Amino acid sequence: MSAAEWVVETEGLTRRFDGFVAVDHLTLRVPRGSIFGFLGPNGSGKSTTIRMLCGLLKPSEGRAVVNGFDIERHPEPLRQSLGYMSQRFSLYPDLTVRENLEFYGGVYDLEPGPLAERIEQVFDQLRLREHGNDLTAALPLGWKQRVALGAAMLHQPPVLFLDEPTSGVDPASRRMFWEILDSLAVGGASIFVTTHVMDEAERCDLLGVMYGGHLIAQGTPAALKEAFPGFLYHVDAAPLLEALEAARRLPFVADAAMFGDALHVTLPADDPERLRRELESAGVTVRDLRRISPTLEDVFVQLIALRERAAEGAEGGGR
Amino acid sequence: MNRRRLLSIVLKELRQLRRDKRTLRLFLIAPVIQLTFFGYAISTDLKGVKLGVVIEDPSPEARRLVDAIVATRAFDLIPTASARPDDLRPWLDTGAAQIALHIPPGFARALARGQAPVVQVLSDGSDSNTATLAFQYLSGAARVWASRERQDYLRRHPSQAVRFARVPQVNLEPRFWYNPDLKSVDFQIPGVLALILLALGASQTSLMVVRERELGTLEQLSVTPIHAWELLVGKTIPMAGAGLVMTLLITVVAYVWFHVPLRGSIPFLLIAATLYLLNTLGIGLLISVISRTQLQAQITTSFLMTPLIMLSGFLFPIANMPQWAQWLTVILPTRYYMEVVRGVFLKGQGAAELWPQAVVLAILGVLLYLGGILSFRKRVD
Ligand SMILES: Nc1ncnc2c1ncn2[C@@H]1O[C@H](COP(=O)(O)OP(=O)(O)OP(=O)(O)O)[C@@H](O)[C@H]1O
Ligand SMILES: [Mg+2]
Repeated sequence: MSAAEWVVETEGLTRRFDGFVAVDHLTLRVPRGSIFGFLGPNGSGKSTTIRMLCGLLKPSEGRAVVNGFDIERHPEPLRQSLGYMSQRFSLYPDLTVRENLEFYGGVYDLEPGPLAERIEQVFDQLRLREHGNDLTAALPLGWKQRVALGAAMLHQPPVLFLDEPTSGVDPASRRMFWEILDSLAVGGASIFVTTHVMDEAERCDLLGVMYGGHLIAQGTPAALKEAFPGFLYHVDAAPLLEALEAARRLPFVADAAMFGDALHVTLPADDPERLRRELESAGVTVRDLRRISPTLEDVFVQLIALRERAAEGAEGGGR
Repeated sequence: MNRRRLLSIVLKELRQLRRDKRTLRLFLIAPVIQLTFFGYAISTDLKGVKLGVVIEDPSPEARRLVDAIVATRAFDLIPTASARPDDLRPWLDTGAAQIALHIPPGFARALARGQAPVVQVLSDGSDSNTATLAFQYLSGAARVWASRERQDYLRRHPSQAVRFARVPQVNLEPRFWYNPDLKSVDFQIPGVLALILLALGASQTSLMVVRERELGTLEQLSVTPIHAWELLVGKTIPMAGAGLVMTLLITVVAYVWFHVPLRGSIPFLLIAATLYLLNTLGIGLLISVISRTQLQAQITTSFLMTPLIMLSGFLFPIANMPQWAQWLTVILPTRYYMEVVRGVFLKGQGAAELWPQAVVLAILGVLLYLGGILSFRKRVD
């Protein structure tokens, strides 16, 4: 692929806060026209990365190119070509929906005529018309987030950075939001979105997983699931907590985690009978044990667990 | 520069202001409270100061001096029949008198010889404000008396003009010549203008900028192509407009309600107000640069307001301040605007007399305003 096909390209991108490294030599490429899901536990550096890519934070090291513009050398054209929704709701609560959009339209220097048309268009696309003249403060969160998206996409930027746009939003509004994102992507926009919800991650074209400021995995949802190391079993056992403890104690178990009212246990080899035997000899009743294909959540949980264990190991070895 | 971006900010600010009933009320109430406060409650007019007099020289001249003092209506004469010099201290000690006057023997004789007789004034210095003011009233009365005596003497003894001329020349102009009634209302109400515009510029502006930082809208604006100066100029334009409207309102109230004389040029007053607003808005911008939260902005504002007002000459004459403080006032915009306002209201001055103050206000204003804009960082870190 040629450089023009990457909408985001970073190399060794790093940000430190008083010695603490929030983003550590991140090298990342996001293809144009896709929905890129940026995953990772709290504090893993997702927002910090986005804020650097939007020109809000100065990188301590490394470089990044967004939509063809070096974020440090060409901040002005960069700003014109991106839309940003911060993790915190940040429109004017004391303006109406329409006034907020008019304001941002003016800030992006849209002519009054085309701006009015564009606002109507956004009203239709984001289904905002009904509350167009209401104060933003009075809207439910799902609506507010759509208004924020509207303000971010008003000037039709080719790149959208959305930092947890659906956090705290109810499932119906969430679905509506993602339908809108899909239609924007179909329209050619590149969307860089963070989320903690695996259903949403599943809808992305490409995922990147952050941990401790590092990108620890990258790929399509299918590829990430495929790359899941070992064999995953659904274990319905009682008592559940004791089963979890027992599974974790077994030396041949790679990972065990609670999943709803059952366990998901990962083995390096396909040997479910050994697992059943060992669990039962630990005094646990196994009602059901079957191999399943991993969900994104399994992938995510395991990636993080492996890292955490590695970090603990390194710490233990250091002592 | 981009006009549409600037106008978008101005329009947005006006829309927000229109809905911000609390701030609008504050804009209306603050001047009313200040005017009432300085118009009625706080008065540096002197009234009912208890005065004891010991006259050891029962001459008509001494009698007339006391009459002149009584005529100021600032003093209540305590009963002093057959008082002796030994009474002076006890009067002050017991509080029977706040000020005591001792006219020594030979007062009239000294006058007749062309000497300046010494009249001792004792005052209860524990209330130094009253003492200082009372002393000013006394010296004013003494000057009035001296000029009358002089004219009187010359009328009666035209041939002796040369001899009398040896009496130390007194300045016939009262010290408060531009405020002849010594009405503190006249002196303070115009000062309220300087106070209100400072509060508006420094406090309101910094709050409005910092509020955007708290709301996160500043971060949102930072990803747009808007420049920091467009944002800040756009935010301060409506403030400046509000400031000018308030200037007119306060001027009308001062003139119509408090009967403060308005002798000078109103257009010049507005020009000076605009220049002064440049200063106070600049101070507000600088405060917002260093404040993360509205609370911090408020605290910083009050820290700065105190010296800006105390050293402006609003309540205490600059000439009475210690030397270092007098030097400090040279860089205080409040001082120059106070001079302009009092000059226009009370002395009937305009650009012809007050242009130096206007020039200093312009220079300080440009420095503060530009300083505020240039030190404002659009990036969040
Ligand atoms: N301005 C700052 N000053 C100091 N530390 C910061 C600052 N911003 C972020 N951090 C730290 O950097 C780390 C990464 O933060 P970041 O917000 O990027 O995480 P995140 O992945 O977005 O987390 P979340 O899922 O909770 O939003 C955190 O430990 C955070 O405390
Ligand atoms: Mg975040």
